Amino acid sequence: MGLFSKKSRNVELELPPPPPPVSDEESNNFEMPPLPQAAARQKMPFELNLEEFEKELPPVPDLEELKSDMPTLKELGKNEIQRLEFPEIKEESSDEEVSAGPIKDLETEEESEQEEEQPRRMVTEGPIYLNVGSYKDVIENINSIKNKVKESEDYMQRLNEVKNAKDKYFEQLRVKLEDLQRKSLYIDKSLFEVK
Amino acid sequence: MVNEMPVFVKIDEYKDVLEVIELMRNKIEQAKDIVSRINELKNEEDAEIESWKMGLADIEQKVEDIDNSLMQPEDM
Repeated sequence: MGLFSKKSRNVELELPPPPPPVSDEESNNFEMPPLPQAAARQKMPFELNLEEFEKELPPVPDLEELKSDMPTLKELGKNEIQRLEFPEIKEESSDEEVSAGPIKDLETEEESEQEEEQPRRMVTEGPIYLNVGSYKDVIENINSIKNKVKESEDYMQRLNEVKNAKDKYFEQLRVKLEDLQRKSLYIDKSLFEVK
Repeated sequence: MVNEMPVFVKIDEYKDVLEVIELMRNKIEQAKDIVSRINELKNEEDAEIESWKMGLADIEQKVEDIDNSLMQPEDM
């Protein structure tokens, strides 16, 4: 079971030999080799001519003329400087606070709403006592429902009349189509019958 | 002082009234479904009548073509 046990390393690494000592004279008289300018110029794709390059550049504007064109701070005045201030950022005023609460499922919300609505109606055994104002409202609503039901009966009557009239027109249409079919058969017979 | 006193009306069959209201709700839902179905049928009827109208226009055009063919015979 000693597969992963650390092995003892007794191997000693050999150090490289130190550089030879340099005397002071040699260090002072040391000269760098010349830069390979000729080889570098050959490698350059083109030779930069500064005079021609300066001709292509736009002329440098005169600083005195620029100073005469620019208005001084005194000429701008305080109002001009104040106009450059940052505008005030108005905070959005909202009455409702947005909370980053947990996202609820719609169905569970509906169920919870129904559960909240249910306690409003308490079914009790025996009689209850209703305020006179509420009782009047209930009576008015019942009368209104009665009137609406009566109106619905009227609508039903009118729809029935419309349906009967439509049936009549459909019957007339059916008769006309039968006539049309008979006439077309007659024409067909007259034109293509071989006597 | 008497006018400010609250007056209440006694309702004996409160539970029955609530049950009837629930039944009315169900009936209203059923009536709404029936009105919706009638509206769908009416839309289908309108579509059929429109197709019928176009068919009649085609028949009318064919009759005109036949009439033209019969009334203007080509010379032999």
